[in-house]
Amino acid sequence: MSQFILSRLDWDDEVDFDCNDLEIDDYFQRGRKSSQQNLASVSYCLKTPHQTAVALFSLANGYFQGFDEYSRGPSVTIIALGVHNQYQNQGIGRNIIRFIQAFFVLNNKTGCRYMTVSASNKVETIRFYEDYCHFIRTGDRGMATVPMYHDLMDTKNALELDPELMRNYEIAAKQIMHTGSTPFEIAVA
Amino acid sequence: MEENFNLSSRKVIFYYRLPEDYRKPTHLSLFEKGMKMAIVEDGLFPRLSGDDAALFQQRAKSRQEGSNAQELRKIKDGLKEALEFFKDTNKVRLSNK
Repeated sequence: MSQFILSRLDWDDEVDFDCNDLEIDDYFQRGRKSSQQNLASVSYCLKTPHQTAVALFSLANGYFQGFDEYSRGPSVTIIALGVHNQYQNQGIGRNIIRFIQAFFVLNNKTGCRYMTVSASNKVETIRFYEDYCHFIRTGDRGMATVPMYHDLMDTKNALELDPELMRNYEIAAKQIMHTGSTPFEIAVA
Repeated sequence: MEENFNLSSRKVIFYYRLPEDYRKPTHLSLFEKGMKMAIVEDGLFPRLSGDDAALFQQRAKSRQEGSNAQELRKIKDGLKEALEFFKDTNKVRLSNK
């Protein structure tokens, strides 16, 4: 059995990547580097043991502004997420997002209540975030991208339903914090 | 001060300003001492108003009411799937595109 490896990218790391989305590919080839140099985002790469890049994603700090004082707070924003075109439609993207959600609940170093994303205004993209990752959309009329959010309290409450699952995520999260990467074998007892 | 970076066409705005929320008396003393706060705010999450606010509130409310045991179980199952998924690369196929 071989495990995926998740590791944080340095700004000047070169990654051979193509997810069939010009905007996202362009971001990972060029925008990501300047963004990371400016401390504006951090990017991660999911690789096979043979160092093939399967997926890339970039995260930044944000602030979610809800409709009243009870629904606003610090957030983690998905700047971009892409799955290599040869590995799409197999559940990689949704499972990455779920993993990030759990990670931010369990390794909450500075306070983070929401996860946000500006999703492309396409039916399949919106459905992906709503159905698989439990996001809620807002203000979707006539916009090129749709702002969406996920309340991490839901993730926290879900994890609390299964102490063993929570423990396994805690092990994986600590591994990432200490080494910058994790072979996922460690994550599963 | 506001500084714009274009990350491809996804615009991220860096605000170096005093947000309204932090002008409350409890927070003001921090700023009086000259501390600055830099907030990276997603430029696509404007302050909602009018119909958008009503729509947002309605969705959030219905979602909140739906966050019952069944909804949480679905989230938990998804988290479990994610942890299992990454355990084995053999589950992922290289497509023939």
